[in-house]
Amino acid sequence: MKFTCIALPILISTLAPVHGAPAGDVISFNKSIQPILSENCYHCHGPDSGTREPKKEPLRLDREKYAFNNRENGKPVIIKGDPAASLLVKLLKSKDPDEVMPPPKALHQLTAEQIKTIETWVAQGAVYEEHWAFIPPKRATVPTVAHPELVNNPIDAFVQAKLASSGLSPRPDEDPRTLIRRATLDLTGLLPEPADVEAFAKDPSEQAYQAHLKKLFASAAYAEHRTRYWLDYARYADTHGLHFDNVSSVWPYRDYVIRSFAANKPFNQFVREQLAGDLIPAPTADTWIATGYIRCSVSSNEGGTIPEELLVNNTRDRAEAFGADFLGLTVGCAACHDHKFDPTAQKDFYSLGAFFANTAEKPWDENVSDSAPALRLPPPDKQKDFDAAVSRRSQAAMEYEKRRSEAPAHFRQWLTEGHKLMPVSDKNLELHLLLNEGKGDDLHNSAPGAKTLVYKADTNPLIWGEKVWFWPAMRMDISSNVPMPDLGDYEMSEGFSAATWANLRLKTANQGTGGGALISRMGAQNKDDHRGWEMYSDGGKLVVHIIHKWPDKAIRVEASGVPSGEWVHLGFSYDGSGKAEGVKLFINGEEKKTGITNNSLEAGMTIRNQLPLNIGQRYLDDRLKEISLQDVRVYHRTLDPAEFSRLPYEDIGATIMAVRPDPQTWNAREKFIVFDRFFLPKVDTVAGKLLEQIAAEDATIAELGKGGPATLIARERSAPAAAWILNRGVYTARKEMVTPATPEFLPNAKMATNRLDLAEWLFKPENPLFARVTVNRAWQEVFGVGLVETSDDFGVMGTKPSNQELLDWLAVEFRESGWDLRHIYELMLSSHTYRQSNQITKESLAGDPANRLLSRGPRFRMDAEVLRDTALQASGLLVSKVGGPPVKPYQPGGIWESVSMPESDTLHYKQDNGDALYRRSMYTFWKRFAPPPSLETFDAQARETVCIRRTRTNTPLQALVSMNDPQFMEAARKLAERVIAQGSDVESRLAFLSETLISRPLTAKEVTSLSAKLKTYSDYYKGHPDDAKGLLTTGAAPANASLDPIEIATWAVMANQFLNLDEAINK
Amino acid sequence: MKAEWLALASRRQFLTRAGKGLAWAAIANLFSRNGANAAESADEQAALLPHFAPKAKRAIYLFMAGAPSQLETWDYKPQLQQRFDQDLPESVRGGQLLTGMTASQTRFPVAPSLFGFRQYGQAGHWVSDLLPHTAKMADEIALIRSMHTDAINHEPAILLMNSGNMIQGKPSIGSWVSYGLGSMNDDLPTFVVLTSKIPLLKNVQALSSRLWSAGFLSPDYAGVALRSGGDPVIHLSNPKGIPPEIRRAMIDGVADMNRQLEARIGDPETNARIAQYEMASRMQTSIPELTDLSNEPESIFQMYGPKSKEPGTYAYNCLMARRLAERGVRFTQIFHRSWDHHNELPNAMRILCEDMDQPTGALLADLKQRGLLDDTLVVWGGEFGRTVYSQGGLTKDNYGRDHHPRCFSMWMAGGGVKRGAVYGETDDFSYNIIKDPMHVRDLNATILHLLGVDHDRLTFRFQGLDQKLTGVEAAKVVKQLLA
Repeated sequence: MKFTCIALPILISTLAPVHGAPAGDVISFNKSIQPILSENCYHCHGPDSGTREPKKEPLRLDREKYAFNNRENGKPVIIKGDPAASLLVKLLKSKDPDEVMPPPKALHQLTAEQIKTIETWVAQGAVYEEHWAFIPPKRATVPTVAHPELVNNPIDAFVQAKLASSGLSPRPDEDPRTLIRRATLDLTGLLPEPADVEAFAKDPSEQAYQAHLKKLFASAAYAEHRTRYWLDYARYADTHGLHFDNVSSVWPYRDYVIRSFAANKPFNQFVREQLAGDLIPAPTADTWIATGYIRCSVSSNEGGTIPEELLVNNTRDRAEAFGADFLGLTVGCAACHDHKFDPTAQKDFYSLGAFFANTAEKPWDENVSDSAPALRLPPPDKQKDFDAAVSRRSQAAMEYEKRRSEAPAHFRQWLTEGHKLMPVSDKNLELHLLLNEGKGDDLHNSAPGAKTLVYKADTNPLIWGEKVWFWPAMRMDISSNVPMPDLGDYEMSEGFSAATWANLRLKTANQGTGGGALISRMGAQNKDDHRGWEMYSDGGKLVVHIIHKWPDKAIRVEASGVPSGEWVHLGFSYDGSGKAEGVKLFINGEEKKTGITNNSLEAGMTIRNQLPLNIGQRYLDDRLKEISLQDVRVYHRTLDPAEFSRLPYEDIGATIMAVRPDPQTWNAREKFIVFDRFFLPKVDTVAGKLLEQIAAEDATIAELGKGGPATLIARERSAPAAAWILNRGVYTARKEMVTPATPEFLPNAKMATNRLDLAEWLFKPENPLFARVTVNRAWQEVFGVGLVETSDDFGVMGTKPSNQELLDWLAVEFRESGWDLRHIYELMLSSHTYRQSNQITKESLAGDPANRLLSRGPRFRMDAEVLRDTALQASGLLVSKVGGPPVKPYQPGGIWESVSMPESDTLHYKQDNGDALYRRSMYTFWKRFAPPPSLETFDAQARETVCIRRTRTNTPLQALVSMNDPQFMEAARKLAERVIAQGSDVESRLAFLSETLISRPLTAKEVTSLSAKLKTYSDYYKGHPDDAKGLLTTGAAPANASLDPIEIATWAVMANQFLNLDEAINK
Repeated sequence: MKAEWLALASRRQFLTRAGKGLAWAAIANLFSRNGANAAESADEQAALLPHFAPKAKRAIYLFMAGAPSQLETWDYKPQLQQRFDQDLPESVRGGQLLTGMTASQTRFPVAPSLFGFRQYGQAGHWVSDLLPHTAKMADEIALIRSMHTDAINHEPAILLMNSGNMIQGKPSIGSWVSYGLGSMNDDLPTFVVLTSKIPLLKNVQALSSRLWSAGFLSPDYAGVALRSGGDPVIHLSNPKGIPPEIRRAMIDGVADMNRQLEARIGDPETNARIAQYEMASRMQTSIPELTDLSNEPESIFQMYGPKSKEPGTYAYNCLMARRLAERGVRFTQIFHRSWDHHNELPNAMRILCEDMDQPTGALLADLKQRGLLDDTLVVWGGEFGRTVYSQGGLTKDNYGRDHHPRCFSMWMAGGGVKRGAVYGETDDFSYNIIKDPMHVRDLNATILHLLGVDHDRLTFRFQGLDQKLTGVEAAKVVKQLLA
């Protein structure tokens, strides 16, 4: 009622008089109008077509091109320049509860001020603007500012201009010691060496600062620290994250990230390799490893799960990760419906998903750490051979791709030479189910002269389109039956043949073998002794039964090598001889060596029965679980091997040629059938050789890596990519089929068709998001909060940038620098903004409470990993080895057990010893069900999904960790030993502690109170030497036996105190 | 709006505004007394929680992970005895989606419950012979026989029950309650989770911290898992050789330095940290007091049963839940596992029910005798039901049951709950709901209602949406379950 009234001509007449446009400022749509509309109106009048109202004539207000459409009454709801005539304004102001907008039940109300704003905007002409983040960034002119002496680079000018507009000015330079500590922590996640601090304090020159930055950038710790952030963005972890939560091996990908940051790889290359390292020209082992990014998603092997559901979930996760990491958009909202606020339609989301829906892994992880495709890495002595094999493979693959691109020309040539695609004669073809109906329960028999044209599935409906091969395929549901009583009633003495394309369900750990009939004229055991014939799938075997009485009067022939979880062509031919030797089995058109287990039919015995022919099952017996089929055929004659070799592709290609002889008119799937599956491998000898070479190199690569560490990689499937729009995100609720495409509302919408193009699309200057999102994350790492605070959401509902000119300048600078991310860090750390004092003045606190305008230097609590790493570093325990398998340092008992299944290989936490206890925290084994507890206490994430920004909390549980965790206590007592080694003077010992952890000398007042504390500790341990000895037992590192335990304990408590200082916990 | 403001406002801003200095710094965090309620202006007061007078101040959620069979517990189907081993009529199954585990079965033979049922109390609830102790409390219980859910496999189903969504990343119900209502004490977490030792090393479902995570809410609202071995809260105890007085002196030393720092830099966050160290220090006393059962009389242990002295058992956890309720913990959740009985169900049910029944009954009785049941809500249930037909072989005394999302039983008791009520009804096969279906989101809406919260108004702005525990689809408070 409330909505339909928009279209009604009857309106209340008690409207306030219209005011003309006020003399004041022009109202900006982005600044003033969109926030009101998105908050209050978009739910029903925004991007989501599913909830748009009124149903009869949906109104859309979020995009200019719809907002001024004429309505039923011939007028738009907004009339530019005339608020009084604009229905929109009238309804906002209405007092009638049946009419007012938003309707009362929406629980949103506009304030009088908001209504006034809209009115004024309409009066000013109702000018729409594109959302700021969807307009490509341009460099703004660097502003002239009041304090040019405080401008080191354009960052400062932009910041100062913004501060000035709030009546603020930048702070003076930071104390050199604090600055060098800050810079070292930001670039390496570690503390500066006290000697470096002192040197810089003596010579705080620009030159000395830059030299120090240079040294930091060159350190391995820099690459590790950047990688540590990236692991959150990539949702990296060491377990699958569902069900058993077993080990998943993808750590070589983590080391690839470290190598990339160490080399300062151009960021576009870094991203390209992760998104499409398998598709780029001349891929190397490193670029393959990079695709681990795609495989970092959670996976499952739960028994009852349905493969399509898992595949849909995987794809969704990857599309969401891509959206969050590279576009800063919450595209996942469009999984169920068009986005509520951003113009991301469901179609955009699933089209984006389609880029990732065609990678070659199976839906189940099979509870193994190297769920295929995985690359095993060679030992050092085989590395050279390995790289050479990868390089040869890449060379062959590139040549093949080139040949493939020329296939249409070669194909034409081949045709002009008088060749053609040979169909298989349809003589005595009695059943031909293409299974391309796409819906319903009627299956059409397209065999010429078919006895019955339509067979109907009874019991349960058929399921269409989950898998796509030549076209979206049919799946037999749990108890679907398609009885065909008038077919297949053959005698033993007659020749007959059958074939089908099939996609067999993958076996999972706790499932049966999944045996069952593919095409069968036969019943269950209790039905006439299995009399009849059938083609049967038994695990990895293809089996043909021809039976008078099982097992004594029967033929059983089998061949192995039937893959599951992928499309395979299966068939047999029988010559009517009554002998097993007369049965030939074919897999993918090739005759297979057969094994004969029964060969006891005798002349004159009948195999006829009264049962219908069935597909996907025997009559009333085992069904094949979740089998997808297409192109099912039964011939009442013997087919020879030459015919069989043509059945999978050539025959169907001949049909395509017959209908449309010009390959230019073919769609992707038709090209796939004729070129990729027929012409290139079977006809074109050059291409065929290259394919053989690729296979041979793959075998060499696998052999060289045998026994080495595995890493999950992505590989594109050979068939064209496709995905489905799913209603409400439910995997069974398919709507429209879509192909890979970038979101329609962003520039270059049509340029990408695979993951490689998708990456290139990001790097186009017209892409408004990629560069901004990246520099904003870097800003967030260094300054604590991004210029766009919602670094994970640049959409309409995200926060507006605190300084868009600066963000855009940085984004363009980043792109134009050749995607040099280190350059961006250099700019930030060189700026005065970064180097200003962090002391908070009254004005700064009042005018810029959260420091969003950068009215002071950045200061905030360090991340979990940095806290642990710096404690280890100060104690001298830190082991600086880079990379390698994850490690298991101290962890309280029982944590894994309390959440894991007994079958899990991560049920028990087996703590490592030796160096593994003291590695940087980024190497700690990350179990998704129970992330490292001390790190989690300091807001580290489970990494089930991408985390673009961690929360930064301040809780008592954190105090318990930094006071009592054995890692911290052990660090304290080893640090104490270093302190004692400074000599016997208390003051110099305290100075060492202070300089090590907080990079500054102590004040006299601090020394006085700390000395008093020290006496308390010392007195206690002198009186309780057993406690002192006890304290020395925390952690595995032995105490220095040459030192007095009482002295170590005393100083250990003091070190523990220092490690817990706010100043030590903050950067 | 209020909630968003609180969550997004920087703490500095917050402190300045609230003007309550240290006290605020303390309560703005883990033990927030006010949760989403930190209102200063009249505008904000209007949005104050609770939205209306709560019937229950706190809740205890007994979660049976793996999905206990309704047919052997609360959904009495005497007619099934005559249908032993008959095929489930296709009209009943109606093309229902099956899991991969029974998908290939050609028959769906009806398996009646091996266990008898009796009526209990004034309410006359039919309860299985497996649950004699819980049955004694029948008159306190409002039984829901018509629960249904969207998920057919454990991982998504457990997540849906606990967070209202099948996809990871949403806050758990306990964290929503913490966020909405805040704490009622100064020394203990608002939301406590107790996982129970596995009584039978079979059919165990995985748990993970995502079940009590705060999702997109501040991690402050996540459940704190009290552990059964070692420190109840990780790293609660001082390391060996550090006695309380030295820890005290050290915390004072830290505070002294921090105050000097605050004077120099002026960062209010430093004051907040001082307060957190004080809170940590208090927890070091309050939590050992909580877990020290030496003052409990023997009669109490007898009530909760033979395992109640063994830390980490379900019985021990039930006793702990009562102690947490007494100490003002807002939301306690106990996880009990191993209910996934695809085969050998009768034997497994005997073991599981024996482990679960007595402590559950004792918890209700104990809360009641202390007057706590009047304002404590107790909820019991798993993530879905189980099929009436047998999975695998069926014999007179052995069978299994597959997952069944179409119907299952749960119950509620305590504050605001209509004692002795029965809500909903299933068909003769306990397969389809024939009256008053209750979706998971209805359950959650009802739980929030009893705690004084309107599920439509407890929201948090995330990814541009006012997110709710009950999600985007309509959820209803089931009035018939309210006293």
